[in-house]
Amino acid sequence: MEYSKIKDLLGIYFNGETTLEQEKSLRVYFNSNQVDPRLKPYVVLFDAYNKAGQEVLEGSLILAKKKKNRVFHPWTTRAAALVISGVAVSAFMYSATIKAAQEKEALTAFKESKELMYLMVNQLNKGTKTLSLVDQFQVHKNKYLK
Amino acid sequence: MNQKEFLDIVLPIKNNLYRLARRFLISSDEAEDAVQEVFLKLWKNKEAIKKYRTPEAFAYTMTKNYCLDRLKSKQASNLKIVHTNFENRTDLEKHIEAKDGVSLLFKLMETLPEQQKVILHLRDVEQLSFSEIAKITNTSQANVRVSLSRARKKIKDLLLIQYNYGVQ
Repeated sequence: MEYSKIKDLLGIYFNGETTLEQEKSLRVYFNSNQVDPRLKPYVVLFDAYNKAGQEVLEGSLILAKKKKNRVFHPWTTRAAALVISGVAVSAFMYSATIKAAQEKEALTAFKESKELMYLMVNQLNKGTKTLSLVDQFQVHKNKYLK
Repeated sequence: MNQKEFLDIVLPIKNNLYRLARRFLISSDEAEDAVQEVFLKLWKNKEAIKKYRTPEAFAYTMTKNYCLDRLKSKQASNLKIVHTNFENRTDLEKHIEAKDGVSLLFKLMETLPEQQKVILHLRDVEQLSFSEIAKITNTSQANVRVSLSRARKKIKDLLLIQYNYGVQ
């Protein structure tokens, strides 16, 4: 585009009266390599606006109630809660069955040892009965040996 | 309004909001935080968005207000100190930086009043129409034109001073 045309357009631009179309043509002109030396100062202007328009937000955005904390998707928390409670319940059940088995085992052991004790006592009683004869021996001995 | 509908409205303009926040807060991290904050606020008021005819304009206005609040708040005063420190630190590099016309121009833009800055940004960077800008800034289209003209002229004057100084 010719110098005078651009100069006129710039005048309108600085009056805030250019249309978006006209501004676009200005931008195209100043970003091309054929800028008239007299208009060089304005290259920076349009270059800067152009570059500013290319800035993008790098980070991802979070939509949650808590600030700046990465919060899990609600479903994952629900699933996690379910898994944890499931594990807890099954662990409890498992420990309960183990306890019952242990109790049973202890009871049978107790019974067996009780029977064993009875048996031993019986044998012991038999022994003491025969021992009473020793007393008789003493009595008769005393009769003759005074 | 579910999350998908919300994102359909808001995600396409996330970069635009980010750029606007960047003009005010300068630091890219701050700007990112600002957009995040605005998104959270919008998400919380997602039912209210329906009432607006142009949710985009609403989001822009919210970003602008949020940034201004940030600048005025105590946190921002800390931020400013950091920033001036930063500027002092790079004082030596100023000549090198000045050669980079783009950053020079953003520095010049910082001298503009808030309203003019917003309008200039929305028009020359985001290329929005006057009616959209009027909605976002809550003024009339005539006012937008006047502010835009003032902002452009001021930037031009400052730029020419810098440019001529550089040449001589």
